[in-house]
Amino acid sequence: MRTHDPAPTWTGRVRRAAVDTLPPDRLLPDTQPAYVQSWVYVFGVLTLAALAVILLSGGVLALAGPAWWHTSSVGRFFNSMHLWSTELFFFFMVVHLWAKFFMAAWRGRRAMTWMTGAIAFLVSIGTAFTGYLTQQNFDSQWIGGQAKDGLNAVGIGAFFNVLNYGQMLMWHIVLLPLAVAGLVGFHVLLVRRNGVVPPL
Amino acid sequence: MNVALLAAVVPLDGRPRYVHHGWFLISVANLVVIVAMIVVFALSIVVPFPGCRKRQ
Repeated sequence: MRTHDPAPTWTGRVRRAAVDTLPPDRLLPDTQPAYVQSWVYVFGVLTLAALAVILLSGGVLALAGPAWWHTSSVGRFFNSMHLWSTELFFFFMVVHLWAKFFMAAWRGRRAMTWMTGAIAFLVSIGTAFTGYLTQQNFDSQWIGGQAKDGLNAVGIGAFFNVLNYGQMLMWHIVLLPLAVAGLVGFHVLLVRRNGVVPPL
Repeated sequence: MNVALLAAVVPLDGRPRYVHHGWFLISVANLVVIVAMIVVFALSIVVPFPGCRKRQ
């Protein structure tokens, strides 16, 4: 009888790999290094807080749909909350990006953390872009009309049609938020695994 | 409630203003946000964090 050999199941292998890669005390630490006590280190979590408000307000908007958020005062409130949390999200994310760039935050085997952050930034721009396309006003018409020519020029206009409201709404509320949330989640797990980068 | 109290400090439904000098063209709104980000970034470096002890 083997006493130390765990059951050869894929769930067991995944669990052991997950615990080895990210032990619980690293996943949910209760202390941080002293150098984290600086305002410049708070912009990552501020970005996460803004993202949470974006997802919650977007979820409320999705419950009742465009007719509601254009015509009801409560709907306009949530529509505005969705916009302004997005503005704050990008504001905090850009300051976070500057701080990490000037800290050379890819040091100490943190290249993947840096890259996932950069890609999350780019995908967030695409998510915001499809949000502007689904405002259903002259602004979104103008943005769609201008973007159509650029996207046709690079050959993807047939697959990603910025004048197709339904397609852009689905990209905005399903595909791109999943990508952003997945990238941000992976980014945070990498920060947990490798620790917060020390100052230069 | 007085509706005027809810109005934005800066009128948001007028024509947008731009800063234009030669090849340089940017809306005032975007310029304000960029300047605010730079100011906040600089302040976050120099302003001490609450409860942070000075290094010996």
